[in-house]
Amino acid sequence: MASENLETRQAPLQPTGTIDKNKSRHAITILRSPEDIYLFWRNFENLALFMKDIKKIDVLSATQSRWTVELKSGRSIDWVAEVRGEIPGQMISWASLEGESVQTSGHVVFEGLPGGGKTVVRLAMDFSIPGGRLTEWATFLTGEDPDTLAITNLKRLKQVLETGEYATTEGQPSGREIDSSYVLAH
Amino acid sequence: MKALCWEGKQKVAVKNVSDPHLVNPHDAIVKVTTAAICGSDLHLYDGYIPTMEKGDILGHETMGEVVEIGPLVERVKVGDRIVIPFDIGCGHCEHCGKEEYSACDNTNPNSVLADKLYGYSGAGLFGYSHMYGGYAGGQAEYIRVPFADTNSLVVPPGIPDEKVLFLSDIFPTGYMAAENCNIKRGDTVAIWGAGPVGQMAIKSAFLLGAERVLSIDHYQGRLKMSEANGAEVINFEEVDGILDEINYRTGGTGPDACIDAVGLEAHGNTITAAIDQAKAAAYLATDRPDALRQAIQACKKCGTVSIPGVYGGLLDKIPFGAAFGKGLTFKMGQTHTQKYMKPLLDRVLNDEIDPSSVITHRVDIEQGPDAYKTFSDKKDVCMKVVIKMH
Repeated sequence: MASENLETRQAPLQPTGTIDKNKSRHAITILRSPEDIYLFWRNFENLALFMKDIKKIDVLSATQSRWTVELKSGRSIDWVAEVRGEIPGQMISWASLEGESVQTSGHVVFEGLPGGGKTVVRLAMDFSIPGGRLTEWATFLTGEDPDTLAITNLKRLKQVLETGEYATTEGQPSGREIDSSYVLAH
Repeated sequence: MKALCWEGKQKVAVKNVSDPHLVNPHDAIVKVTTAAICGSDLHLYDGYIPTMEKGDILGHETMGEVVEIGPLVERVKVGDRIVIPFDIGCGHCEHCGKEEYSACDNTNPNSVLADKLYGYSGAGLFGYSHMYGGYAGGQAEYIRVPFADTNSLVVPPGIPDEKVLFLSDIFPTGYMAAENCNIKRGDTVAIWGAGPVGQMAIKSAFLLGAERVLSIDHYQGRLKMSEANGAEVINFEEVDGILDEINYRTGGTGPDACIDAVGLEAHGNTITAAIDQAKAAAYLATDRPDALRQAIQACKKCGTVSIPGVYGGLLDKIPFGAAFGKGLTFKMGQTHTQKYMKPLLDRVLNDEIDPSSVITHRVDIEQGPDAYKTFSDKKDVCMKVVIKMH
């Protein structure tokens, strides 16, 4: 295990201020082995299958991928992220390339629990969008800030890995449909 | 299809909406044959549960015929007659693995919201607000059932819907409430609320070995049913003090266990009940927990308070000192329905119990809005309404 990797692993784990909305730190426990979860995550295209508001993730090379997020206005915003360090089966860290319109970096750590088949996944991320456009991001998406999105997506990762699908009610019937009509009311 | 939709406080409508379709690979679509209105639907009807949205399809006591299954459904087949539990389990997470289905980690798409309110979110529920997932309910002609293999009980042909429908909620709920009392042979159990869950709890307490059950309510028709089920009844409006009465009837010791089968809309004639009503009316409190207060106060030392009644938010003036001083045990929560469905079906098939005895009203979907009103007003001794859908 290379020492620079260990440093990469330690540094971002420092507690981050919880007031800063641009930073988020979450943990979730998943009933899968660290190796399984690492492999699933490392194939970044998998993440686009369930991550909310992520339109697509194009793998450009072994370490670079382009992330595209759809804004509510219909416009989209994208950036290229690069893997900065990883320990197979244990952690991945990344950052967007310098000059990208979205500046984000983060790391995810997979800690196997005793007994096997159970892993704590810890995710730390930060975001900044030059020119104060973070507000625009939060407003234009479903009203969710990047921190809420991060935990929502971590929960979806757990759902997908434990059950094979993520929970949704999208497309279900309701009395709010435009062409729904009253039969009777009181 | 036609569905009963929540349209605001004390407003329910029959609406034409689109049919549900398969969304996820473990889904099934069920043609609903019979559904019921639950006492806890009245908490929605009366606007006590936050995060309801106009147009939400109501209903969580549902059964019917499977008409379509997703590619990963293995056990349930098209044509099966199934009862659907009100809580949605994924069948794979740590909690489902321990048969704690209503605590499922993976079925509430809005769990971030519930996490904020409760610390950690429970399972998604059918037709029970967006905080609990916003799943369309079963008071409709069709329903989508996620994780159909986990969230279904296949019932044998020949047995009428009405005998097995309540395996979806009130029978397991009354049974778990009694099981949570840790009843030992010879015990006395007091049950607040003689509605359908109260009746199921009375029957279950006897099945589990209770010697005496005290049933407390103020609707004479309901107390009559309690009596028929073998309980001793107390009409709290006809006694001087409910706590004195229970104390006297239990020989000065209090009941070994107390069940609150009332929940957050307790009626009562105490000072605290009057304060609750005033506060709730002015939106200063979310819940009216007078039955719970009495259950805590009445319970024997080192006894158990079991709470199947629904609570949603912050409760005022709970006598926690009494609970601590007497060393009480508390057990509560949404029922892990799936755990109880099969063993309780066997009890129904063996004629040990007939849950359909609580039914007082049978309606079709067009009569649904009126049935909500009748049930809410407790008119015509309205105990349990079933709705024929097909």
